[in-house]
Amino acid sequence: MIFLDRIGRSPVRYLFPSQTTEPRISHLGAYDTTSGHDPTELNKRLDVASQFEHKDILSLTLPSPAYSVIQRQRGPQRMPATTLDVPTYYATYNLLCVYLLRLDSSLKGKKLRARLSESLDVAFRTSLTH
Amino acid sequence: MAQITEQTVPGNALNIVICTLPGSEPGSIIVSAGIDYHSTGDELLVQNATLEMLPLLVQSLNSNKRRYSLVLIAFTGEKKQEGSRYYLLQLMGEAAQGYPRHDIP
Repeated sequence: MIFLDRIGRSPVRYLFPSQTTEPRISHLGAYDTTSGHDPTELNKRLDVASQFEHKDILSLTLPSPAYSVIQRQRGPQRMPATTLDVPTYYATYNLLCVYLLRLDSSLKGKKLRARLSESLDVAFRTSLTH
Repeated sequence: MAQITEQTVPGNALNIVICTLPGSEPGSIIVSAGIDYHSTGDELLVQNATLEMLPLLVQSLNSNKRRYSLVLIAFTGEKKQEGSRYYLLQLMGEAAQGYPRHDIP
């Protein structure tokens, strides 16, 4: 189960329900490897994915945080991203199309949980090159 | 061909909307988003856009051959997630009774 959470504000990330309390959350692309999401909003949404996870259905939340991270000389800096950004939304749409096609062909056998995220990483790289 | 169904959630004004793109093998991939929210301004735009992603995906992926069914769901009950809870209850109930269910590969 893939839950979409407020996408189109900033580059999309991914989170497994069990990762809500980890300080270093999974991320997509070279963005913000050290900081977590806004815990209040995200935790509310993660409940949906958690419900499925508790029923042994593999789940993933795709949130778009209310900030983006830009690389500055002094290090990464967070910039507010609370509005809908059309190019980012379109990029997320492309990513989801590639991801779902990839997932459909690769989701089989063992290590299903890993395939959920691996497929997204592959889709991310693919959609960047098109 | 996409199949659209609605599921009534007790105590909720809005229904869960489910669109299924059938696959050739047992198993489903579910993509979901929230359908009811009480935001304003930029937040409302973002949430609308998130929900609108579901029909966009249907439009793009409907013509593709799939192994697994693609199930796109708009869940009602934003704050307490009643929609997703109710959907899961139904899903698990059907499975327990031997009805067809969305088997996750």
